[in-house]
Amino acid sequence: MGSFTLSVLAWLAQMGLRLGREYMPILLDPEANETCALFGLYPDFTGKNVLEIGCGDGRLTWRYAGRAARVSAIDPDLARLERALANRPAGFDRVEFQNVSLEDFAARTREKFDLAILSWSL
Amino acid sequence: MAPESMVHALETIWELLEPDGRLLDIHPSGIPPQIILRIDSENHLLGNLQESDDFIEYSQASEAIQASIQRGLFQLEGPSQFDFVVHADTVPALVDFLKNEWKDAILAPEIIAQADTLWQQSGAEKEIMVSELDWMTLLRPERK
Repeated sequence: MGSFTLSVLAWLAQMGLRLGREYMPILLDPEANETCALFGLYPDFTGKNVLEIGCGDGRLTWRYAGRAARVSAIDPDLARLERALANRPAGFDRVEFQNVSLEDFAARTREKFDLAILSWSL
Repeated sequence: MAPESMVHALETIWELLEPDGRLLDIHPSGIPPQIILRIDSENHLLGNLQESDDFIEYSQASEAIQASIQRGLFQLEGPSQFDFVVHADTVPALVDFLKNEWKDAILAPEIIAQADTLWQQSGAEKEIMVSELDWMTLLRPERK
């Protein structure tokens, strides 16, 4: 990854932190009902290559990514991806975000995935 | 996304999956979410959130999943459901959140007024919540 790309990512992360502060009084699914249902249906992420379509701000991504081998998280909404980058926990380098639609991603990749997650995006 | 586009997206995902891969879809049930005000341990149901498109895209998503099964693309492995709850520590915070993050949501003025009235009552802990029932579906790609 080039230095320009890293600089852009760092800037996007800072922007996301600012955006994130606006919603401090809001908690989304603190009961983790969504994650419980996810791990109930698909319990073993070990060694899995995951594609998340419509990852948005990474809210769900960060809840399962620690268990997977690799995650490609795509979303056509750049503003939401900026927030996902800003919220990246330490040690989660296995997650790669791409600002791209499903159609464009499918056209350019030759990769196959163990699990595809359509997170509120169909 | 139009219903046919949804089915096309499912076809595209089918091509991206390993032969023994899985697709997991999450989408709202389309049942209008409940607006609940909690004062200490007491919950007050204020009404339901509406959406400007009357939740039509969620039933279309369910139909697209069914169509992909009928066309032999996927086999149903497991349905599940869960309550997704948004907690806000003030009524204006919830209104602001819906305006910015849930753009087609409609929170009726009567519900906001009722929430404001109840908020004036005594009680140490207060929060306002949106509780939405969501579907989660695990699908296995069919290989012929």
